[in-house]
Amino acid sequence: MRRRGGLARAARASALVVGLPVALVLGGCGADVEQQEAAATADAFATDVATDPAAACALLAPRTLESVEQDGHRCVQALPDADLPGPGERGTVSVAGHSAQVRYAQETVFLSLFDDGWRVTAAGCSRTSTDPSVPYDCTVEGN
Amino acid sequence: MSAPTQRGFFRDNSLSLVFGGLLGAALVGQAWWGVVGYNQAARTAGLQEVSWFRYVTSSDFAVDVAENWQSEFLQFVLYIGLTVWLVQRGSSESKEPGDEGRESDEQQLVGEYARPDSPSWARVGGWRTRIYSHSLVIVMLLVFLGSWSAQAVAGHVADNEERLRDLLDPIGLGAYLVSPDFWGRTLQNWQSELLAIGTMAVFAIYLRERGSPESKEVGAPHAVTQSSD
Repeated sequence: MRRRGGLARAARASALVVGLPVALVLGGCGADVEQQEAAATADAFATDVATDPAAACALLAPRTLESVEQDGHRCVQALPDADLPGPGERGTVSVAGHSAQVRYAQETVFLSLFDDGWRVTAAGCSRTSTDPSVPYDCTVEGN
Repeated sequence: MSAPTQRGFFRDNSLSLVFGGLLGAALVGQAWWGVVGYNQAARTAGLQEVSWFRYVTSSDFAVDVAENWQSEFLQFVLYIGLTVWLVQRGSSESKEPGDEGRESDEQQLVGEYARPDSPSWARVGGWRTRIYSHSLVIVMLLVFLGSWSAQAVAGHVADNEERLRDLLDPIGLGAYLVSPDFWGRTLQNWQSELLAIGTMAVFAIYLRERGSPESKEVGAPHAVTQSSD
């Protein structure tokens, strides 16, 4: 009896299973390190805003830096005037791909990974809605 | 004497080799256009662009690959399994109506009916023959479950990356498994696979491709389910 259909297609598909687990493992490697590095950047930013604004400005993502300086003021002047809340005790740190969130008692900071490390994309963020689909409201963020 | 052997190998395995090559080319193309798209979105958002290697090891690439793989293997699981019990009269993809079921050991060449060159697990009987009798569906099912799990894990990370970019809280894996992103990715692939295999079963009743084992002979009547025995 002639058999048609499924077997031939099944054989051709069976070679597809090798690469994906490798990619997933590689993608997951270093997650803890990235969590620590993201938290360290957020901690440094929170500290530097009051004590060393130039250093804090250097930790901003390019688009966020542009936003801070959009009124014509230099970042080192504008950032301390932004009235960022003191962060308080650090809570959970979440990293997903090239994005991170560091929660503090008084605010939440969002970061993105660049070639030279984590950079702050938004700071002084707080929830203004119970709807989880509504973004955080942030004192400093990119456009 | 190696030239005829090589020609024989390539000719004997041409279907697998060609599809393997096409798979590789399609994956490279997907990765190439994927990194272009990813970096366009990164430039728009003022974020870091990534290298090709970084992209192909990212959750974005993994979820895009896995969501398609799982649906392909689910298609095979369903089709191989359901065609044991269900038929489509006139389709070259189906058994003859009346032949539904597991069939006899004699028809399946197992146990005492095994040929000298039958696989050993078809001949020995017991649990090994039972497992071997379903080995195709078992492996396809395992690959489907693995691919679907990979889609869930990679999709969870990719979705959270986008959520954090949008200044939203990340969600847990459990919440992701009941999210629109997970089921949207899953069902858009399932429906296309079910459409393709269903139309194949029906089109094969009336339409022909001369020389293809996926088709009845050109002159085979529409009502004939399997034209060559």
